[in-house]
Amino acid sequence: MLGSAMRLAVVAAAARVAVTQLILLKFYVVLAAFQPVTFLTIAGLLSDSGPYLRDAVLSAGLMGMWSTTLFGAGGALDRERRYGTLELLFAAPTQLVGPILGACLGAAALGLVSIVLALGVGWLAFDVHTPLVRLPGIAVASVVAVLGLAAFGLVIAGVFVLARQTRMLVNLLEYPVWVCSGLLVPSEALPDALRLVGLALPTTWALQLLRATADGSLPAALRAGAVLVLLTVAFVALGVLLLGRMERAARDRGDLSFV
Amino acid sequence: MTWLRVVVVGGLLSYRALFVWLRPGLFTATLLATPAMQISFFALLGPSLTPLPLEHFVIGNAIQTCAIASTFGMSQMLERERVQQTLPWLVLTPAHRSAVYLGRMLPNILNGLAVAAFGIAFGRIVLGAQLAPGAVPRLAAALLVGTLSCTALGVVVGAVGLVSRDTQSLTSVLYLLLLVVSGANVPIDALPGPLAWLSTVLPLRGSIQAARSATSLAPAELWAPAVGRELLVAVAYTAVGYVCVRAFERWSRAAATLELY
Repeated sequence: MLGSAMRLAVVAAAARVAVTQLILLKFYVVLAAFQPVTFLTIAGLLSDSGPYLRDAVLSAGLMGMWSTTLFGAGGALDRERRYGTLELLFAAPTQLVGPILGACLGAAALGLVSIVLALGVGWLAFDVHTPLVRLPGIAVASVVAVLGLAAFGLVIAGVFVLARQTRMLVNLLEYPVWVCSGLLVPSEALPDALRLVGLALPTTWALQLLRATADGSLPAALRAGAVLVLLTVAFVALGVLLLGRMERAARDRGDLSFV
Repeated sequence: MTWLRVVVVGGLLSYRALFVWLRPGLFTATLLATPAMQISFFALLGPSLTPLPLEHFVIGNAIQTCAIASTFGMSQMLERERVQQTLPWLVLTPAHRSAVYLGRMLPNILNGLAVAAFGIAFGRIVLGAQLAPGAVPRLAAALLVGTLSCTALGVVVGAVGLVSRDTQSLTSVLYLLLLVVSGANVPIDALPGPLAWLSTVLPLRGSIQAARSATSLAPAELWAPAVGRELLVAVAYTAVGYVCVRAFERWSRAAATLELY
């Protein structure tokens, strides 16, 4: 088995490959760029409240990040199957979780484009100014959000990885996570049950982290960041468990290419 | 008679062939669950930001989601002919093209109608939208013209699929555009100039307006002009789609790219 440095290198290489593959697919360009701008435009045309629009900008960015993560992670192994590299991946002398985590990271990293675009469109179209001094903080918070969402993506990959109609299945998870996390929808409009579900989602805490960073509120940012890191660790552990089981089951059945 | 058989049997067979690898349960869930979630999302978002009633967002999104089944389904149906290597046979057949393509439109029109009707029922039963009783015939007509124009738009996109590899992104962009400009969420008079213009050339503006008029969310006298406008959009897109399909068909034959994907 590989050492820690080599495992990290596998994750980094897989992330690089995923970004390269996904940006060539126009579908992901739509998810990362067009979709968040669309939802921000709707929010901006429905409301002219300054504080809400500031939240809407950050929400729209995270909506894009969630969508790229969801489809990128859910379809990670499906892409390998279509490219004919799935068996090679299983036969490689590394655990499956490394390449899949890398793919999830790459997919979530595409969401950084969504955040940058949302900030830009918010500024140009809806007069939502983000002070320059806050931008480095927002950049760091966005990277933490990428890690959190990628970890959650690993769980998604573990659940949906061998389903043949992955895109159909993951489609069903896009809106619920947006709603439960309070992305775009004001949290006071949410029923209590949905708010409770949202507490277990990284997108909820990523929004709080970005919001606190944009406000310059360090204690709130640290609190949200700490919860997000905890969730990231928990999701990685769960994802490793799920993928390990799936890997063993797929090897036992010998039906990798036929699922 | 042959023309009608090509329309009905040909359309049904191609529809079944398109989804042959998809489990019907999963297909149905996707077709109905995504609209339900979109309607719920905007039913939560809209009334919390604007004085507009819940019903405005339920009606608007229920109709807008018919584009999933109609536009997306139609465009994929044509594009899949190439992917599944059946396009040359379609082009070679002596059947009249109008019968071939009308047959492919029918299942998508029915699907779109079912999705929109489900959306309205979902809004009424689950979200508690209050819709005027007795509105059903006028509402049904509004839904029908909306699904007609969305399916016709799907023919145009599907025609592009005869010469281009990726229509899925184009359909996604159109779907998102409709979300903004159709009036499903943002009132037409609140749209900036270019977006307001787009709403006049894309489907659904008339259908949504007619549906709101039928359910007393808009003046009743707007119903007929709105239905007429949507019908005009449907006819225009069907004509453009038919011309595009024939033109791209000839182009694909001349360039010998019928089977390339």
